[in-house]
Amino acid sequence: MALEPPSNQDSQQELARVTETDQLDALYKENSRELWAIFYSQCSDPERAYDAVQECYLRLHAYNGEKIRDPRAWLLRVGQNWLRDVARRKSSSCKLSASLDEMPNSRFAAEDILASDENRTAIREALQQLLEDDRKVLVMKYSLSWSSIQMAKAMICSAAAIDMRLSRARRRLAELLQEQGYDND
Amino acid sequence: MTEESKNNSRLFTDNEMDQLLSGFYRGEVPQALDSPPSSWPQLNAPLSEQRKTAELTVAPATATTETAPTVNRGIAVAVATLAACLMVIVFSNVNPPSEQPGTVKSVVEPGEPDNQLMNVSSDNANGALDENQTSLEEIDQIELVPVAPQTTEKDD
Repeated sequence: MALEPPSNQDSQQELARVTETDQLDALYKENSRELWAIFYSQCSDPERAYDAVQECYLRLHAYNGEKIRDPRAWLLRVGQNWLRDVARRKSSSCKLSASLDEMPNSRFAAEDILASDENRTAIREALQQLLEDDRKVLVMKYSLSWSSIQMAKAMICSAAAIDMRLSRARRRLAELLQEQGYDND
Repeated sequence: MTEESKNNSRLFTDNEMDQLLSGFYRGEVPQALDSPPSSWPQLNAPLSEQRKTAELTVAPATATTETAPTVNRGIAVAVATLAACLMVIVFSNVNPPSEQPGTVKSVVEPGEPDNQLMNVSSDNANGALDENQTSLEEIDQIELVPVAPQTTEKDD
């Protein structure tokens, strides 16, 4: 079916749409990892944190209200609210074990995969016992590879305070893992 | 966990913690996180795409069918209300206000003529009640004369 060539108004709208999509892509590349890290530090669940990232970008895409002055702050707020709603609902959805799904094609033995899974679970449980700010600096340091200065800017404090918090968080986590009998060999 | 096993497990060094956390967080980050979605949902499709969709699934009456049920329902409700009001008005005019529910009414059969009813009234006690000038006035000294039986032709 032949389509009419787009009118001038249509082409302007398409251009605006392409520009909007490009802006959205750029915004995603710029902030998605940081947002995931912050959400992860709140819920200690990588999949849920990723869902929160997707949710806040989708809402930004569908947003038709007033102009957003700070998109990063807007995304952060939306994602945090979404996480809070999910936690309130206490959804007990059945989750598939990704490691078990990957077993047939994996070059590792099933016992190794399960042992690794148990270790990860132990670390997650230990992380949940830390303060939220401690989890935040850990995830920024080891997931985003941020410097102390970048973290200090994000958390509105000094770099020395960040270093101190990071050292304390690591030590506390090591103690918790030792209490759990975590096998570090 | 026993106390002995606690003592046996040594505390992590800083270097070991660095390696442990680096490996842990590397595995936690979803692989799809770094790449933006290949296509964003078409929430605000451009006009040309909207027109294409409209041409493929042309349904001119679609817009009216969405609003038609609401309009029809409103008209039906208005007509029903008007009919109910008319019925109330008609019944209130047919039944005189003096007739209250519960009062005893004379029951008249549908096929029964009205002239069989006797016009009895205290005001008209001496007056004639019908065409034969029958009245309710009491008359004294009425002589009752026995009537001779009529003879039949057989007796003759």
